[in-house]
Amino acid sequence: MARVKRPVTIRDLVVKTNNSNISSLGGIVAKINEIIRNPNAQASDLMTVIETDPPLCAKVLRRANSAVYALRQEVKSIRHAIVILGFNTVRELALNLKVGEVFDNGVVHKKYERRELWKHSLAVAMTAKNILQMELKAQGDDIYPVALLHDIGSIVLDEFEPDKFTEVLDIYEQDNTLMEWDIEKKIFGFDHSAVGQALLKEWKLPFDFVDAVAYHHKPFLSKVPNSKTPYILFIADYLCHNTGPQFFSYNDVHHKFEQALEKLGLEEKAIRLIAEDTWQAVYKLEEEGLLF
Amino acid sequence: MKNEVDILKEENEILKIKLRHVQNLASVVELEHKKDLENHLSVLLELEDANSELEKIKKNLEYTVQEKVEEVSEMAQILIKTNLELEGLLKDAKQASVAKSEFLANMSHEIRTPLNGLLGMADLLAETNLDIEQKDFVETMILSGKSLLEIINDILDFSKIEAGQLKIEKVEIDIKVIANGVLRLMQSKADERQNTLKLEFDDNIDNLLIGDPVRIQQILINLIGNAIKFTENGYINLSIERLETNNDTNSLLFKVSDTGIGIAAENVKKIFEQFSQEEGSTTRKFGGTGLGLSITKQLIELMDGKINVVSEKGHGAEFFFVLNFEKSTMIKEVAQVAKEVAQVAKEVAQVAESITVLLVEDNKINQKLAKKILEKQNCIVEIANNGREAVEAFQKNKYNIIFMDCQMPVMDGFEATATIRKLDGGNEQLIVALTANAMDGDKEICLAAGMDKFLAKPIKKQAIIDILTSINK
Repeated sequence: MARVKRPVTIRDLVVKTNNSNISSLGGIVAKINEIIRNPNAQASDLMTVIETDPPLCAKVLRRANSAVYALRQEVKSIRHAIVILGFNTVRELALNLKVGEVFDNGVVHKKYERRELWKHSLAVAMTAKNILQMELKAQGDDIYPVALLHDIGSIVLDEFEPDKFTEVLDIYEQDNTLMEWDIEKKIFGFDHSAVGQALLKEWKLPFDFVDAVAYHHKPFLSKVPNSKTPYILFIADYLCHNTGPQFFSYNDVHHKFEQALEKLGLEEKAIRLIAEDTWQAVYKLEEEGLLF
Repeated sequence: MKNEVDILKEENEILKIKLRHVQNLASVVELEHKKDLENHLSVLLELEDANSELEKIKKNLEYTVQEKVEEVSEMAQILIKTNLELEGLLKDAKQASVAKSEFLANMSHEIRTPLNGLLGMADLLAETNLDIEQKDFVETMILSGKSLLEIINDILDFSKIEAGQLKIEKVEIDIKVIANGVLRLMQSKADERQNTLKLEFDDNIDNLLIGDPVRIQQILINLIGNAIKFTENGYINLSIERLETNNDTNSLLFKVSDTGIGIAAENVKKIFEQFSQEEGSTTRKFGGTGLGLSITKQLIELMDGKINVVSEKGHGAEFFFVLNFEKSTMIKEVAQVAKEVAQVAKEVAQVAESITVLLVEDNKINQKLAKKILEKQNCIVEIANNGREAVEAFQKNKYNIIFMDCQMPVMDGFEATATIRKLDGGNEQLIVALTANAMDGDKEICLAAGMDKFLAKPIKKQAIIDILTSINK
């Protein structure tokens, strides 16, 4: 007699995640974010955050000394790396390497691979940042970590409910007129953006982060007034899904994409130029084996 | 045409967009660089701060280290100096102590030799025909002389222990025989003070053990003598008990208890100290050197024991100590047979023919004394005054035994012995050394010089009888 199992809740998944090695992600991201937001923060604060995670510290140093930056001198400390590469570069490097850890393994599905999801996440983050900087002349500091984490909910579903997640992917493969997150809602009762929202909230990340992840498919529902972040995240995500490093393609939200562009006063052609340049960079990283 | 224009227009538009992007990026990057510069500056400042802090710490450290080095080297010098002084003092003290003990040992010797002469002659005098008054004088003389000898023996023992010259012998002993002997010896003293002497002997004690008979006897004599001295009209009890019976080692508890005047609690510890009796007046009242208990204590400690006393003023005292003795491997029966054989031999000796003796001795009194003792044992005694006379006598006559003093003028005993050994028949000659040096080691020197046996002076009647008995066998 099969026991009737209570359907899994978002809360169950959050608790499971916090008891797994994914949980160390939250602390690091929160700390790095604090540094970005605190005007008095110094290079040494970033240094401290990175150095308290020895494997991350080693990864950052290894990457700093890799061919990508082609430095003439060997970087021996995080402090040194910040001086040579710049604060933002080191910060992004640390975020990439830390968040990437979670995507750097797992099942290979016919249509899905965690590594592919990571490539997508990285592309979304870089695209979003570049849009902010090149079109809106803003720093883009905040959007980068949010974009990296926007699909973290999928990782959680895959990690703790692999059978059901595979079921979602199978259904999506047979009928790609459906939105992937709609299938999730059917199977789980919620989708990966809701899981990501709960998780970021649990990790005590800022409310606008949580909000952007929650509404990255539906930016018009964002609860943060005047925030551009959900829109840019949505725009970058949409572009990547459709023509860039994609995970799924979603077609029938094109009108929303146009609305979002209009809302921010952006021009699709200009955005696509930015996106395509960015993706070239991502593909280059992939070729050189530097995604993780 | 229109197409080309459109394419150019399109390209122009893209270039415009790209230009905008580059310009925007430049301003963002400028800001970023500004931030980095600020960061670099703060890092530099931090480094500078850290550097000056380091400099400070380094200076402090150098200063402190220098100070410590100076302090330590100063202390080391003082220590070296003190050490040298201490070494000097220690050397002086050791030399003084050795000199003192040697002096005491030698002095007691020098005193013992004439005293023995006096005592020996007095003994002989007592055996002549004397009237009652004369007999009384002689007996008093003997008594006083014996007391003096006892005191001198105590001092000699004590200085030997102090000089580290006293060694504990390991021979076969029978504790019961020793205890009975001591009791027999002390009986007359006990009688003098109307004391009853008793022995309680545990039958579990093995007959033959390994120990130093002389020192055990001395300990028991000291303790019983002490008990007699402080008890009148009472009981003195010697008890020897085996503590456990499941081992080859005999762990024996010795107890000497009396019903005498006892010791006040506050003085119990003091009584084992040198030159101390319970109080000054005790010495005047009861006599003694105050060395007896101290020697006893040290002798027991030399045998790995520890003496204790339980006492109460007016209610007697009990001295007790535990000594461990190895069991002798010799079988009891053998010892018994040997004893019987010795007894028979002794009896035979007394009826044997005259023994010829050459007595080599420079001291006239000792000559006389030894001669008397020997003659009483049926010996024909000839005298030689020194080694050379002894050698000459040996060449003329044959002797059953030669008693040879060691220290003599003209030719000493060692040389004389060596000379005789080289002469015809000299190897077979029985030569018994007489030596006044009672220190351990003399025996070895005598035997090494070629002498057969060894007798410590003062010459005792029994020792001479034993030797004579052994040659009669």
